[in-house]
Amino acid sequence: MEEISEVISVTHLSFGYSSTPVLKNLSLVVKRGENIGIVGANGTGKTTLLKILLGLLKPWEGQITILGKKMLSNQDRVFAKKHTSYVPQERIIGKMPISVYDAVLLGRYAVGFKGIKKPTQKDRELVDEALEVVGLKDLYRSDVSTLSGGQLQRMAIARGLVRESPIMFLDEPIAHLDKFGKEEIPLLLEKIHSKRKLSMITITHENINMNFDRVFNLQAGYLKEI
Amino acid sequence: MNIATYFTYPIFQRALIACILAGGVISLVGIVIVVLHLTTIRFALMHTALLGSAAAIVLSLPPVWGALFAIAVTAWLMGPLSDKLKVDTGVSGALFMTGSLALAFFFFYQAGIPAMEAFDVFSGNILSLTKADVISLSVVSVTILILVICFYRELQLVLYNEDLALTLGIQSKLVRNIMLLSCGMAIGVVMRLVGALLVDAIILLPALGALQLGSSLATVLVITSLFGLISTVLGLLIALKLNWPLGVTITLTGVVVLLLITFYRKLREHIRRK
Repeated sequence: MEEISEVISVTHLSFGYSSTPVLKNLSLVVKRGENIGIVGANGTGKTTLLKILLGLLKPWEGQITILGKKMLSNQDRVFAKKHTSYVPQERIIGKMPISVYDAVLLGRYAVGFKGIKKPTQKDRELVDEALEVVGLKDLYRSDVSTLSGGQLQRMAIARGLVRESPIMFLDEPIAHLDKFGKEEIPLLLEKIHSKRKLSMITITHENINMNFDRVFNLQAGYLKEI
Repeated sequence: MNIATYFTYPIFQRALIACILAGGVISLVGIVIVVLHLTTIRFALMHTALLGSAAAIVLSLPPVWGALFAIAVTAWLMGPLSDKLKVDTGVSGALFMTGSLALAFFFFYQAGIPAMEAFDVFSGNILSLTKADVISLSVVSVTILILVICFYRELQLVLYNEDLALTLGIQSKLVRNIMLLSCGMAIGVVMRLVGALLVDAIILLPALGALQLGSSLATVLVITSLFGLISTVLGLLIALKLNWPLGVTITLTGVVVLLLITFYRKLREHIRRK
């Protein structure tokens, strides 16, 4: 893919639910390799902004460009999903037994395998490498339900890494973690950022001990650099 | 009569084929029902069968056709309707269940249909299966098998975390609706085998057992299929040997298998802790 300096460009973005506006005339540019933090209290629209950037919600107004491609059609949004990685707050939701290895391998969906196309050797090598980076190599066979909060979050980061995308979105990476987790996860993310030169956009409602290049505050629908 | 002799008769051959398909393949939809908490929905689907059956009687069609059609339509509508109304599928399931029951009774009253005739769709008998029943069972089984094989990873992702699946580019809602339709069709055909009240023996019990032992979706699928086969085929053989009622024996075999699995899991955990 062509090297583009501005990996994300958002101009005059507005969005709301029903007739209630949540995001108002929001603009943001993220450069390649930048580490951006977006802070704000719960319910200010941080996750909504992330969902729009991920192509899961259509904005009311404004324009979004991801890696030089304007997000206009559903196909463009598929492009956005394929070329970005998303690290959610990992939670165990269902009763589905799944190993750490398989849960990370799922990150290769659509970029490595899909439908009847099976995971390749490359997919498996990327999983091994990502597990090594996040320090979960020894636990690759464990069921995800046996992991601690911090380990689950590291697993989610590994799943984001295997997508090999230049942009990584992180949704509340330290929420619900203990003191140790709140210290180790930011260190791991900084290490990954400096090694892989990823553009990282982290949203958080609490203080996170990370060296962001820029930090924005999302309040009352407006985004301001602080 | 010797058990082998039974299987020289077409009705027993059809029963054996039905047991193999239902236990080995149809049971796989139980994994979806258990993991995605769709138990209310399966109940709703069964009740819409009554409405379909009543409507079919009014139209002078076979009640089973009406029941299957109603289940398919409900299963297909339930997902999108829940999305539109922004309610949980359990809520829309309750809506369908009560609404279809009320409508069915309205039909009985207005058209003077004997209610028991419509209620016949709830009673199944594996020995009364027709060739058409076996064909419909085979079609549903093959469809489920193809879906599981071709969309294994999509299924794994949606069962693991629907929101995550969405962010990775899977049309989670479509996958969920296809799953609901498959569950509906599975319930519809299995009702003909053991009756509505015993559907869970084939649909739920094997999956409940497998989820206790499996370590991945692949192993859960294999174990579900295996437990389903043991419950249905062994149940059929025991019933024939001891001259017991078929549906009940298949269900009791499933219950015993599930109890044994639960006991084994507990024992294994106990030994590991020691």
